[in-house]
Amino acid sequence: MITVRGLTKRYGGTVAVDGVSFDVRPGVVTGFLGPNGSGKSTTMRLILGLDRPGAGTATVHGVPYRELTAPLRQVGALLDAKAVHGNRSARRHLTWLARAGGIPVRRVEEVLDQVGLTAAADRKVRGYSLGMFQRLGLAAALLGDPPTLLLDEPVNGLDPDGVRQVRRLLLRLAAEGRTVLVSSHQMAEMQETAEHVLVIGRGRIVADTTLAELTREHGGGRVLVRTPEPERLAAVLAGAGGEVLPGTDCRLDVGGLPAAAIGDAAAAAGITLHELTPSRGSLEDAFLDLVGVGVAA
Amino acid sequence: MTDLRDPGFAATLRSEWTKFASLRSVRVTLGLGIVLGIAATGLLGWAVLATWDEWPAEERAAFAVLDTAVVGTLVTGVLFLVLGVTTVSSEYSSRMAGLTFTATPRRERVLAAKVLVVAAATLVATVVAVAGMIALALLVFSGLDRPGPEAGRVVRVVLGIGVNAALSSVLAVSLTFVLRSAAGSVAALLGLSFGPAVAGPFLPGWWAEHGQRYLLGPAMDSLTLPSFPDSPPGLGTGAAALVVAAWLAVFLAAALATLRRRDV
Repeated sequence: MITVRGLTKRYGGTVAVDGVSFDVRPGVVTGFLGPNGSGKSTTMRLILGLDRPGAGTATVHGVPYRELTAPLRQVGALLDAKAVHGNRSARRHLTWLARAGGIPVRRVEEVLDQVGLTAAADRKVRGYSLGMFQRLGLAAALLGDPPTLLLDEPVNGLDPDGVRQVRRLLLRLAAEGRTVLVSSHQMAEMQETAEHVLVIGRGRIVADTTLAELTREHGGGRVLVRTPEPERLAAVLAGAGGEVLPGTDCRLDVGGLPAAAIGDAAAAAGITLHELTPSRGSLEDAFLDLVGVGVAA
Repeated sequence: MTDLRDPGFAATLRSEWTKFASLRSVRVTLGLGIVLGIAATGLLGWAVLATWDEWPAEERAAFAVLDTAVVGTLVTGVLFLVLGVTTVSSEYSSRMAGLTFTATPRRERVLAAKVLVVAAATLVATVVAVAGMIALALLVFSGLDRPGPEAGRVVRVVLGIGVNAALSSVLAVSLTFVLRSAAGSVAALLGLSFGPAVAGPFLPGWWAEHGQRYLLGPAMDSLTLPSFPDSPPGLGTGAAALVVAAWLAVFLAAALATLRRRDV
């Protein structure tokens, strides 16, 4: 459980995080979404006690991070995967971290294996690819087997196979009852994993809701229609106030009319429908809708 | 169930030691400091031997083997100061400090562990280097018909220079936590070490008489080194210990205050 209340951080004259409040609950993956520079990383640094807030509080398991007794066994964090001394090997890097956290050093082998870095564990990390750095960062976060995880852009730089592995890992960690906060600017990635989403834009939380709710409210509410008479149906729906975009293979993408109204209008005009699918809307649409409108004001 | 016991300061100390010992650059700097320090002593010894026949009688009479032997500590000292500085500055240049303070949010533990690790390594390496310098000097000057130093004085010089170097490394680590920059810290430390000697002649006479001995460098020398016949009056051991402790406390407190207040 992560609790954030009224968190504010200024760097010079710039407000990076502006009175942010939210809870991150265990058992689900919570997506922390926002464009680059919107305050995601700063919020995570504030939760971890690395930066001092100008106002507000952040607690993990009810305690400010700096006061946790066994931080690495309570919280696993991946902030900046490349923030590693280039001349150390992955194994040595994880070893000092394990020692600092009072974690048995045998855990190092387990997490190296878990993220698939065992073969490269004795190489200096300077030569690692971005994807390998991300795996090392994930290994570091998992080292203490913590009930809470904060991961800043964990799939950045991973290949599709790596992305799929991380997605499965996140879902498994949440299913085990852990609190998982994952930031991303890649909306599609969150659509696959996050159940709850926090959307941040210019330092403010603009949405704190379930993914389903978010896409329903802000996803555009369009309906996909398939018919053997697309031209005639398009004219009928346009007449009923719909906004119709022609598609391929006798499909129409209709906005501004609910699915029921489209079905009624088609029946009244004697047009057969082969498909009538309300689209949930993509998270990307919802995100642009929110951040574009909600924050500019 | 998560084990929530505090891993304690011992965990931080082991962690910092692992970091320190796992870098090849650290091992190379320690080895290089020892080798170059002994080599500097050897070079001076060779110069003395080559010109010995031309030395005036009174200079020959005043020649002290031990004082000449430890000349290599200048090289060793500077290299080990840089080592202390980079041990901290590399945390910031690699941005790894974020992970260090995530693993150990208690800033005072990280400061204390770094200070202990660097000071212990500096002490051991300096003692080895100085012992090597003296052994080499005794060998080189054995034919000069000068009295060898007493064993007690040798031990005092070796340990004194070692402790001096270790205390200097405490300064290097603390100052770098404040400045976070290798170049800035090295410049500041060299200024602290050599500044008084450079600026001294331009200051009023009473400064050299009464003020200078309270500076960190001269006070550390009074505490750890046997006095040389022509050195300015220093502090007694007790007073020197107090002055050195006060200086180090100031630097450590500045480092801790910086760590607690400033963003990582």
